[in-house]
Amino acid sequence: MKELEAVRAIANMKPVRDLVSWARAWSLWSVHLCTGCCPNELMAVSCARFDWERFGTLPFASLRECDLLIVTGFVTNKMAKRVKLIYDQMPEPKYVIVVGHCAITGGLWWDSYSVVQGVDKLLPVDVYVPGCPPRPEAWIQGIQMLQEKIIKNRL
Amino acid sequence: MIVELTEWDQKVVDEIKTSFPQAVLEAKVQRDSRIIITVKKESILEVARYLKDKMEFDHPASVAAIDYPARKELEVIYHAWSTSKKTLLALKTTLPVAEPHLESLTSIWNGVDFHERETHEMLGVEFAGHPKLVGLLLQEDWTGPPPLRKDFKLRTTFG
Amino acid sequence: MRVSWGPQHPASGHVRFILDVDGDNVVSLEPDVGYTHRGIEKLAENRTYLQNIPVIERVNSYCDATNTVLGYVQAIENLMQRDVPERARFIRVIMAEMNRIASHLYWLCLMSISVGFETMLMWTMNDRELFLDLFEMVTGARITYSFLRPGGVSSDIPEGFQRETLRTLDHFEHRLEDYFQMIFKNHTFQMRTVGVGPLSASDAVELGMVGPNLRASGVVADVRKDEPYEVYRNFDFKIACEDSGDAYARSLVRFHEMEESVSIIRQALKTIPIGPIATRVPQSLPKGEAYSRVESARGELGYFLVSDGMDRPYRLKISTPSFRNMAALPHLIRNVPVADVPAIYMSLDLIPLDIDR
Repeated sequence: MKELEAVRAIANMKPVRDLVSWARAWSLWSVHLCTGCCPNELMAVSCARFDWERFGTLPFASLRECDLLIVTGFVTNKMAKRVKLIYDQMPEPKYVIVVGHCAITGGLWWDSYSVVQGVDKLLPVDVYVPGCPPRPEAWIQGIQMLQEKIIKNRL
Repeated sequence: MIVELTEWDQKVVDEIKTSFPQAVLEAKVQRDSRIIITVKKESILEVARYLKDKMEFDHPASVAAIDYPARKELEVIYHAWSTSKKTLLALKTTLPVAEPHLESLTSIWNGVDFHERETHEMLGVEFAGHPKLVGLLLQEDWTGPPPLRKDFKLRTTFG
Repeated sequence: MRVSWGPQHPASGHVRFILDVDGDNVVSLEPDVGYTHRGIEKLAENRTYLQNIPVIERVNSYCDATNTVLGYVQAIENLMQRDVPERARFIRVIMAEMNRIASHLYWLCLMSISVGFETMLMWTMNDRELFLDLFEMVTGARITYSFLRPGGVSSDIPEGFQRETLRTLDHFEHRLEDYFQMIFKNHTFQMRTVGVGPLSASDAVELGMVGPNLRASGVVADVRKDEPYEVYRNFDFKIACEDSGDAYARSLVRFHEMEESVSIIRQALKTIPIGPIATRVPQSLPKGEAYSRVESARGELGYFLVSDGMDRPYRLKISTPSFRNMAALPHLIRNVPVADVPAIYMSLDLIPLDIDR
């Protein structure tokens, strides 16, 4: 017990927390959740010209080893509970970036009978990246905003 | 070549009228490579079989249904292409909204399977003889009316 | 044992397959679709013809925006019986063929991932960026640009476009030679695709297959030749066709289509006339119906438009290539090894957005 308290005390020290936040921010592994048309640009951002991997972001196949959920595009009512399930399966700490007008407010599908009008009705969102689809540079800005948020707030 | 095909279009129209005088309500060439044949719903299976086997409409393209609330009717249209004669057929029939039952054409064109499922889901048409007439696109717990019916209204303003 | 594959998986979008598996063999497959259903056909009735263009574009915006909207504007022009200026037709064809190349490059990227060939992911995406740069030059956007209008196109091609395009095409033709050596002569790729998922010509036609999947089974059917639209009858190009109907043949057909598209774009740039780029059209269409067919990258795309004289469609039915090609999946995936399922699925080039609308 005393050892556990000592470890907790060390972990709570400011330099250690800063180091952990920095490490988390620069190794965000994202889940492949390719809804909508925005995944077009997700492929472009992952590849050689824009290359978000230099920021530590890597799309990864296994959910249990990811800490970033990027919801790219609209989520339908049929898909909504699966998105929630995916989010619940991810271990803490986890972050959500929502990309595209459709995911933020419903976008072009504002009157659709089957599209969720904004993913923040399902999940807590950290960063919103607007666009239809947003340019790869905007995606990277979204990742950088999340990194700043993690480092500043030690999420 | 184009002249031959237009003659073929007219030949199809004339032959279908003479072969099924009771069943065919209207048959015409709408424009180059577009034939429209309207039949009574009871005869759709035999007319479709004739059109596929004898008139070479072998490639199913789509199944659409339209809701006409003023006439209390649903119109069902099968589109099929002829790969040999390069012509598109629109085979139409109308059903009363109160009893939207029609024979499935999956025994004639295999490819209309999913199309009929979607039409059933979106407009409520019951296709008798379909191997698996269950929902396809809507969420599992959909309780509303068929969405493409005109009495199902979408929002018209934001908010 | 029943296994559910999807709806979240590292492939082309949300679709679920329910596989009946016996050991390492997939006995049967049942597709469960609708995870990306937006109800576009209903939404189209709630918008004017012009407002529908961005919506229709997103039926299949995986680099095929031009072909997707082209069928819709053609249906409108058929109903109006309005002629489109020649220059606009040429611009449409140039954009459509560039879209075809970009779409096939995207498909090639996904196909390579599914057979475990990560290098091609990077190469194809890089070359696709060159075409997206050209789209940006003309329209200002990379993927979804809402460029077409009923009656023509929204803007003319800018100064320098011809030079840049020819430079890109010269570079791309060299790359195609490299792709052929890297992929189609690659022993591993051949092992994973030759003889995998064979589809006969009669089955392909019965099931309603379209596009490269149909042509790979030996059926010579291409809307650009069967019912030439825009200015396709001005150009000299071959229809890529194979006989074996397996995944390798489907891949090869798409590869050859890219070569033919390069040739069509060159011919179009050489012969494009000067003139207006659009003609004025009324807001409301006359009563009637029209069925227009275009050859998009994935296959024949059909738009059935019914108008009741108002400024919005009474009914718009979209018959998408992926919806039609999906019929082949339960037919092909019967008693095949589990490892072949991604190769067969990817070789059909099914996009869930296109299936669900």
